[in-house]
Amino acid sequence: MNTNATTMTKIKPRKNWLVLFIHKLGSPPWFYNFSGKLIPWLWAVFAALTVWGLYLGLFVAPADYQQGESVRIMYLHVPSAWMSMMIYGLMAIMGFIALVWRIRMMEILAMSSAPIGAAFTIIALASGSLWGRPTWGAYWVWDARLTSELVLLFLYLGVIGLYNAIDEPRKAARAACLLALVGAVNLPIIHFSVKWWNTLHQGSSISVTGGSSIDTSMLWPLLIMAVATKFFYGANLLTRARVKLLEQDIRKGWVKKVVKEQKS
Amino acid sequence: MNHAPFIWAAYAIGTVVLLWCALAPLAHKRTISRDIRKLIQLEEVDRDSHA
Repeated sequence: MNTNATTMTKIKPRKNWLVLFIHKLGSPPWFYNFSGKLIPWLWAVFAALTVWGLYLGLFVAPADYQQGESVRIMYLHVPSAWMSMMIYGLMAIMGFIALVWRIRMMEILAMSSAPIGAAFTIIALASGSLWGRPTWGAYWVWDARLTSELVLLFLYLGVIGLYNAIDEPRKAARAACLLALVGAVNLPIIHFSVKWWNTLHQGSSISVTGGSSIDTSMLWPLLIMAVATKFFYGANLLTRARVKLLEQDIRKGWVKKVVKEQKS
Repeated sequence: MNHAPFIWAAYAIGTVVLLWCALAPLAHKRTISRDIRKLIQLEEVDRDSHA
């Protein structure tokens, strides 16, 4: 009897905390409440890191021996360019999950990522252009890196446009997720463009595997700003996802309850 | 060449774009919350008229 009981306990499937967490994320009311508690902390960390990173980058880090003071644009340009690619990659992964497993939260998160990614791409292109003028003598050149980054912006705009063009939100998200997935082919092109073609844009100064050619006095503010932008993405993504949930579930009881609680 | 205008212009554009990105969903949320409140009021009126 005891042996059987032990065997039963062993056979009984146990859900680990990660699986439970993912299951909970699929519940709109739970996601709405959980993200509501998380968002202020994400904004606070973003603000603190941005102030610290900008102080180091604009006032403490030295000017570059070749580029002079214009190198300070790097602390905005490089993190924005990294984010533009990272967000697209995440959007494509979430789009893939949404298409294969039909998870509504993934559709919402993928579609909420697109405007944030587009914003970072605009900043990367604009700041790069303003950095190019004193460094290269031109605001724009049809260089492989710049052109592929511009294509990334068009892909983001295409995803946003397609999502807004279809009335039924789930059908719209599926179509836009498919476009996001197809457009992911542009990511390796952006990354390797400086190696595959002879470009005016410089190659990578930072390597994860070591051998970075950037001085630590410049590297630290750059890394701090890079981490800060991740928190911006997190806070903004959750805010946008919450709004999309309210919009889609407008006639559901939990939404009315949330709005009534806000009112009181 | 004085680099300061290029640096400040880059950071000004970055600030404006990120502010827009952060504030746009809040404005949208306000509109949706207003719509939901109207919907709740209409349902309450409808319920009262049937009672």
